[in-house]
Parts: sequence; C-alpha cells; structure tokens
Amino acid sequence: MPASVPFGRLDSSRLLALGGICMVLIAMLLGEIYAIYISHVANGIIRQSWTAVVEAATQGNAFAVEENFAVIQDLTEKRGRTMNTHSHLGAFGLLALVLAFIQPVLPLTDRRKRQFAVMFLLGAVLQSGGVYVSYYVGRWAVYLADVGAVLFIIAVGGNLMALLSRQPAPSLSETLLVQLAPSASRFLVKAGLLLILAGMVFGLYYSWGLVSVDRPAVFSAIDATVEGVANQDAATAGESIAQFKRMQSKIAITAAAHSHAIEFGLIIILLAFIQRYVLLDDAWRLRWARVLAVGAYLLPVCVYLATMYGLRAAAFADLFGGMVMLGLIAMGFGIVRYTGAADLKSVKAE
Amino acid sequence: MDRYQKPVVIAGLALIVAGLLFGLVFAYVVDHQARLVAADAYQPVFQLLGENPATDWRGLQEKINAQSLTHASAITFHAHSINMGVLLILIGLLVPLLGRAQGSGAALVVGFVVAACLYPAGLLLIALKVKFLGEVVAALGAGLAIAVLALLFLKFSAALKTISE
Repeated sequence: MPASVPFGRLDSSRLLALGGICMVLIAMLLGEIYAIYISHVANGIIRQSWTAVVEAATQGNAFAVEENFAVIQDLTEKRGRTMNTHSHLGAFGLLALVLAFIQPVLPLTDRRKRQFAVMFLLGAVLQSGGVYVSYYVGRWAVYLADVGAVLFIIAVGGNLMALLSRQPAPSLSETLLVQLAPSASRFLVKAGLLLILAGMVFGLYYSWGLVSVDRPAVFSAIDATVEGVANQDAATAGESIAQFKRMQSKIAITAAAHSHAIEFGLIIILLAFIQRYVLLDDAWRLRWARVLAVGAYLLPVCVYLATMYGLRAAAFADLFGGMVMLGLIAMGFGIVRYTGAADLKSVKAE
Repeated sequence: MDRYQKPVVIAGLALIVAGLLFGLVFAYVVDHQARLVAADAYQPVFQLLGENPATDWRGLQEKINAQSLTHASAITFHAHSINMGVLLILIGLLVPLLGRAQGSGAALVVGFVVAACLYPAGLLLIALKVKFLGEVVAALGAGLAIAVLALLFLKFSAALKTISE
C-alpha cells in the first residue's frame, strides 16, 4: 500500500480509523450515562452509607458496619467498572486512530497489518467489555479482559517491532501537506495543541495542590474519622467523613478536568489528519471543527467548575460533551460518504 | 526534519507498550479496580473498632493509606505513559512541518522526546516507592514538556500559515 493512499478498501488504516471513531463515541456516550445516571446517584448513597458506617462503628455495631460497607463496596465497584470502561475505551479509540495513521509506513504485508488491526480491535472490545460486564456476571469476565489486553499489546508491539526493523519504509511526510490542506485541519492542529498545553499546565499546577494540600487533607480526614470513632465522638467522626468524601470528589473531578483537556486535545489533532476524508463542503468542515473545539475547550472548564458550583456546572459540562459528540458524528458522516464514494470509484475502475 | 519522524514515532509506541504492559501486570498482580483512594479498603479498621473500640488501629490505618497512595501512583504512570506516547506519535507525524518554519526545530523535537520519557519515568519511580527522586524527575519532565510544547506550538503555527489549500 503506497503511503499516499491511507484509506484503501477495508485495509488496516480504515479498520482502525472507523473502529477508533466508534470507540471514542461509545466512550463519550458511556461517560455521559455514567455522569448523569450512575456517578451522581451513587455519590449520594455512598455518602449516606459512610455516615451510617461511622454511626454504627461508634455504637459498636460491627454487623451494621459490615452491612453498610457492602453497599459502599458494591457502588464503588459499579462506578469503578463503568469509569474504567469509559476511560479505557476512549484511550483505545485514540490509540486506534494513531495507529491508523502510521499503517502506511509499516514495512509489513497488507495481510499482516490487517491481522494486527483486527487483533487490536478485538482486544479492545474484549478488555473494555470484560471489565464492564464483570460487575454483572462475576469475576471470570475480568480474565476475559486480560486476554483482550494481551491481544492488543501484541498488536501494538507488532507495529513497534515492524518500525524497528531495518526494512525500508515509505515516508509519511509526503502526504502531510495534503492532509493538512483543508482549513479545518489547520484550525484543529492549532486548537488541539493549545488545549493539550493548557491541560498540561493545569495538570502541573494541580499536582502541586494535590501533593501539598488535597491528598494530605484526604488522609487526615479519614484518620480524624477513625480517631473520632475510637474516641466514641460521633459528631467529629461524622464531620470528618463528610470532609473525606468532599475531598475525594474534588480530587476525582479535578483529575477528570485535566485528563479530559489532554484527551480532547489529542482527539482534535487526530481529527485534523482526517478532515481531507470528510466529504463535506470546506465551510461546513470548518464549522463542525469549531463546534467540536468549543465543546472540547469548555467541557473541562465546566468539569473543574463543578468542584465549586456542583451540578449546575456539571450540567453545562454535559451540554458541551454533547457538542463534541455532535461534531464527531458530523465528521463520521462525512467519512462514511467519502469511503462510499471511494468504494464506488474502485468498483467502477474494476 | 523527516529523519526525526521515525525515531519519534518509535519512542511514542515504546512508551505506549510500556504503559500497557505495566497496566496488565498491575491489574493481574495487584488489583483490577481503578480507585483514587480505595475507600472500601478502610473496612477492616472500622470493623475492628465496631467490635472493640479499644483496638490499636493506627498501624493498620497507615498501611491502608500507603497502599492507596501506591495504587494511585501506579495508575497515574499507566495512564500518563500511554497519553504521552500518543502525543509523541502525533508530534512525530507533524515533525516534517518544522522544516517549513524558521530554524530547524530539531532541538525541540529531541527535547520533547526526553521530556515525554522523563515524566512517566518519574511517575514509575514514585509507584516503585522511590518517592523523592521520582517527584524530582516527574517535575523536571513535566516542566520541560510544557516549555517545549509551547515552543513547538509556535513553530507549528508558523509552519501551518505556509500551507494553502
């Protein structure tokens, strides 16, 4: 496959690109469902259960402690598995898109490239699916997830080994200028790099706050809770456990703001490379790129503001998440139109 | 600049494979559940106190706190290594653009590869409980990555202006 034809009929690039976009979309949908229906609801119940644990422990009621911890454990696991699936699917989507771009330079046969691509996609589905269903069907599904992980590690490792081989490979640089020719592409490269930079600066700033203030505050709150229980001081223990939950939420939400900024930045740059294959008018390509960029910039901001303004800011984050999905879906339609046109052309040529 | 493309992409893929392998081993050996602070891990302490308020809980509590921290550091390395790898590959794909901007930009590319490897390396050291050195290396890596990425952004922006449809 020459480097100048990145999307051939069902070749590895196309498999990975379409699989990647699907995974990113599913991850975002799962993230919205997680935020609206699981996270907020579970948070309230977990907070109540922690208060009940503290009361029961203060009263010396070991049975009630166990009962309430069972609720915490169950909801933490449900939330954790959904969250895990959301973040892994998003990361697999990004990886699939990145791998799609380097397929033309791999010194491998088309058949071997396709094998690695299928292996990657199968592994990603098994890993994320296994983690998600393990909450409902039991621990065996987790081992299915491990099999998936092994599969995609082999696939990514195979790509790496191919690049490390001394066989001559075509250069990607000859197609770069063509790929970045649409104005939407150039806009997206700059927007993506700037968002990643902002996310990294915020991450560095927050890591200082995390190490010096927030994390010690979490540990001191749980220590104060246990101390309150040991001293039979229910009021102090109750206040401390509420503080523990507040700090945990703050850390998780701030980390989410940081990671969403970086991940959206990566997605935006990746999308810059495929604008050429979005079969839409150039003005519309740029409009959808702007819609997506506005959503991607404001979602992390609103996620962070949720640490101060709670659900009001979270609702705006959901709204901007919707804008990102809308932009992605529009581009997805454009790509489907392009691949359809390309297929028709090749059928006519045959 | 084209000769830098392949090594940058290889470095990115190597970081991704390292992060994936670490994640798999960690999930298999330690825990499959991603938790910032394993809240339900505190159950034994409350259980003990519920049964006997006079129990000495401090040792157990400290152990659970330390486990939570190690857990968080390990997941941080796993995630950051993969994301840095993806970013490196993207920078690698864009590297030929630097040839269109003033100055070669080669030092920036090399600097970003070093930073992208230093940062996860520091996080790995923290996860392996080499805390102080790990924090220094991670902070250096993060600072360098931000500075170099800011300069690369300016270079790429200048180069993009030279492309027309």
